[in-house]
Amino acid sequence: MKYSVKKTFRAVLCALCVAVMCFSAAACNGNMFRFDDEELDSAIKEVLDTVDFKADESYSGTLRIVTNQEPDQITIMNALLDGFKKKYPSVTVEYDNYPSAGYKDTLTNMNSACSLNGKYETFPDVFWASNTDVTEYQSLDMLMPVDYFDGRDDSFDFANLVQIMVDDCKVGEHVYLMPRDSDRMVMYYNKDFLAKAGVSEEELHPERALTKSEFMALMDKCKNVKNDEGKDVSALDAFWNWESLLWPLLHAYGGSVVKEENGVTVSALNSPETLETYKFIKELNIKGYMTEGGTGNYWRFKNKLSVFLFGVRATLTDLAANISNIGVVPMPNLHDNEDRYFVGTGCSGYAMYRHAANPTSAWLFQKYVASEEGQNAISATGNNIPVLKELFDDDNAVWRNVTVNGNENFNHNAYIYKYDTASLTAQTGYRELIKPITAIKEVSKAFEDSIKYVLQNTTASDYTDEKNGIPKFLRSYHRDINNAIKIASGK
Amino acid sequence: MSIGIKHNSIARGGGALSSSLPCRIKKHRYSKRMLRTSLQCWVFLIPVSVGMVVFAATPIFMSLFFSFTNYNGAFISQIGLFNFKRLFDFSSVAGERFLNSMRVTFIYVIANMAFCTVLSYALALFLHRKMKGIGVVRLLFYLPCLIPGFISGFIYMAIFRYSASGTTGLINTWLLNLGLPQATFFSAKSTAIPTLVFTSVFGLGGGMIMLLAAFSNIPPTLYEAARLDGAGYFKQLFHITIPLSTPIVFYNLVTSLIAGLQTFGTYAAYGTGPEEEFNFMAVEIYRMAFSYHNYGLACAEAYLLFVIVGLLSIIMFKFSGWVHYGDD
Amino acid sequence: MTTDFYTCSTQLISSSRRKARKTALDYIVKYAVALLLLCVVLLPVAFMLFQSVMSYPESSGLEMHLFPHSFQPSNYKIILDYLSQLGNTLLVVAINAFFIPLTACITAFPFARAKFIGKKVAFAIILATVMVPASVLQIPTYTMYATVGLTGKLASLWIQSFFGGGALNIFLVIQFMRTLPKELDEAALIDGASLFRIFAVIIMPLVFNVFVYICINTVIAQWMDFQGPLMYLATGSEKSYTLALKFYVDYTNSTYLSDHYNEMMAMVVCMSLPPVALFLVFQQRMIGGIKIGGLKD
Repeated sequence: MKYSVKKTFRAVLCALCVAVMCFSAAACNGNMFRFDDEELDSAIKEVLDTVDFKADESYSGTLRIVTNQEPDQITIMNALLDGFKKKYPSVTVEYDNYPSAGYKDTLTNMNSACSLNGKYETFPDVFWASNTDVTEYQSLDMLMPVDYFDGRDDSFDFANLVQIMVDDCKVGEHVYLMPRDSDRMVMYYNKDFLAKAGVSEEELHPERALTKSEFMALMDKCKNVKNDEGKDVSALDAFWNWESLLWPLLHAYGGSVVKEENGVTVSALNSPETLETYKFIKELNIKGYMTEGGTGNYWRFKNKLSVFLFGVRATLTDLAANISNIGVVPMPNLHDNEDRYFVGTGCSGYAMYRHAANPTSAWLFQKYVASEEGQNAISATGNNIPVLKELFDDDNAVWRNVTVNGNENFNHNAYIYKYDTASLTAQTGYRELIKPITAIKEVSKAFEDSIKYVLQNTTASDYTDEKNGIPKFLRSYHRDINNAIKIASGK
Repeated sequence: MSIGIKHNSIARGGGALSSSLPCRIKKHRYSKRMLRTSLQCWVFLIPVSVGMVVFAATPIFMSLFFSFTNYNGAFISQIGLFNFKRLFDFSSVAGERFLNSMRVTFIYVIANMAFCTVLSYALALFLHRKMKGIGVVRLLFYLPCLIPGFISGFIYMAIFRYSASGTTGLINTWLLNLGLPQATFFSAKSTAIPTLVFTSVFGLGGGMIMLLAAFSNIPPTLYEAARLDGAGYFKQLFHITIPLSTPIVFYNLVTSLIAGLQTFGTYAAYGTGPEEEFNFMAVEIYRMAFSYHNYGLACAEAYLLFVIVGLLSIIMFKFSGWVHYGDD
Repeated sequence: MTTDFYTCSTQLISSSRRKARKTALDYIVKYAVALLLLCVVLLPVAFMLFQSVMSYPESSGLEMHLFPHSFQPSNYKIILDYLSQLGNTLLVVAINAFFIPLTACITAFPFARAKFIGKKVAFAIILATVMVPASVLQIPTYTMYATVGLTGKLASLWIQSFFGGGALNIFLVIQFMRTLPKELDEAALIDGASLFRIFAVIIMPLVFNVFVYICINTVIAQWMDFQGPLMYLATGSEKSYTLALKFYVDYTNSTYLSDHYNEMMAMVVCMSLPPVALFLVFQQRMIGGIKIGGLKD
């Protein structure tokens, strides 16, 4: 008996390894390899040929929808499905919700599994996505460009929707998300605290935005309010760590996050304009109007610990449930120049899966979301401004007639003040400029973190100091943004 | 790679002569008995073999395949060695980041291994006595290990938070009340990793329990014999306790090496830390895979990490002569 | 003679009194040191406990303090929401806690006690599987489970326990088995016992404390683990969640719980109780000595 036994053992082991490797390589679906650029037009044409654009109320099919488990999402989806099922009684709808934590990861994992084993029908047809996720999903080829559907369908036109929201849902030239609302930053206030500070509601000029000097004077008047338990109440609560609030202000001051230089996108964060902007925000801290970077979830305002809040419509019912006497005015102008008035807007919506098994029913649902009926159903929940343009100025539209805590005179106009001229989204602002799109997530994160660390770590006496103040953080996040772009471009 | 068995030659027929004879016939001779034993042993190994092939081999080989591509989680458009070339090119951003993550990982692992091994051993020695209520004391030391991972991260953050203008953590609040300046803990590059190593003091209980189990495996007759011979506490420690508990100490070292090189739990609680100081290799791999969606590059980094861990483990095993087993 | 005896006995009595005094001082010193160490080590636990009885404004307040100014034990009512997930968790944990140590012992035995062909290679492969970071194995593993249809089902959490319980557990059992003297099985081998007999009758009873240790460790790890369940159970219905997963989901959805840290801590304290109880019960088993039965000293 020679060492042939050991040899056989080794041979068996090697054969096993090779077999497993071949098996795993073969297990990869052929669809996964894409060595030539996909001809989008022809690929989508194949899908369009399977869609029935003449489908009407008698259409019968199935539809699978998925959202996350936020209570608001579930309420809105249920409101939509009530109407949708009445309109299309023969469509069977399966609605699932996945945990909010890792919602995106769950979907991307499922997509990876589908691309590897070819079972695309296990993925839902329609899923909720926010505007910030569109680029990420698109880089993974998970979204159907529905502008093609718009082209083929006579009964629907994206031009009826608010243009800036449609742009927010685009990557390149194609629209990948059906926006369901158009959200906007406004300034909420607690009427009780306002009274305690000795400011009347008329002083807030609810029909126009406050100028910067008016705003600062207002903050000064409200910084010494105490609540019922004798605790200090801050004048302002805001979540600066969010691009919808930070980017418009930076843009107003003339700064930008990225810029194109010789055909390459580079960071533009480390500029005097950014320093001015961050100085202004830090001043709010130092003058005692605001603690730190504000709080996520707006819990200071909700727990009656601040007078004002920079907030959005999407959380209105939550805020109103906590503050019975809530009022709203348009977002103030935080720049000296009246022409540099920009307000952050954004949306979320429902996307169709690129390899959806039921594209017809998915398109019917997306159209329903953007229709007057669907928009009114969503607005009835109280938290949404419609994305259908005609409903904006319609005095009888549902969203204008929602009573907030019994107050029929709630200032709904604050949400659309100077909508066409002042609205600004991060997508058309800086996200469009970032190439490749896989860098967008990290760049946004670096941008948002920069203000967080400036507010947290620069001390009062030297915050413009080159070595230890705001410039130090600006340099480091400037570098992070450049690195993020380089990594994504393969360097 | 053997676990300390140095006398394999006895297994081979022929004994010490076999290695010197040029003749091939006697070199690897397997007796019938050896074959029979091997067959029996492999029956024991059937569950793990099946598990290995199904749950471990397939994912490992698939991700090995991905490391030669630019798989992004959805499709592949390039196959080649470019991922590895990019990582070894230290002027590229990805390579530089990988190098930085290697540096912080090594610093953390070495500090952590030294700190935890010595302290948990000392703690186990201290608690290895028959005192009233020693069971309760041991339980109390083990309690922090029972806090779930993400909660403990949040708790440590609440305890050690540093903030120049806002809420400070518990310890900094105490320091400020005493009139002392705040300590930067997790927020400054120089103090971040030491603070992290310190927080592992809350997790000493696990290693301590294992060492206590190992101590109780030592027959008390040995101690009695030593005491009769007049040996004091330290002599007993160095000649009985330490040698006979070396298998478990070795286990602790190897597992803390392997687990430490793959530290990932800090990402959820602390993010990447000040100036990327907590960007450990496993965290870098995760970010590359799920933030940049460059799964291929992440796999390449993972296999480089695998090679490093493997080499270090082999070195550890080769130099494990100091481990004293009961069957030698 | 009598003087000698008297001196001897007084010396004995006084020396024993000295010993008694010395032991008392010894005890006090050792307890004091233990107490001091405990104060450091138990800080997170104390923080958790104190937060769990604070009232809501205090726990989410901006000032950090350790000792609560309010006392609100009604926070603990939160556990009633989680009783339906308890069954799932118990099932998963019980299956894992029994089969993982069992298969670990079965696998470790040949490595510790016998020489066979391919031993080095097999050990290297087993340890190698632990060295690959889990992040990159996530997509292929998830794909495998999805192809077979196990995503969203509880079975995905315990199916791996039958197939060799984790390389590190195997390694631990190997180390423990190797501390046992070889005379035990050599005696049995001379009597002509097969390997299976040696394993079942001699070795298994002796490594029982390691078995219990791995069992307890598995229980603790699985009880609190939410990352695995989050990945595999997210697409399933809420009824099949485990305790830790439901807790994590409630903590991250913007629900009542994510705001109320005090009730969250109360839930965490309750979740920690079963592992603590298990530990208390089995502590002696784990740490207590083995009986080297059958061997003459």
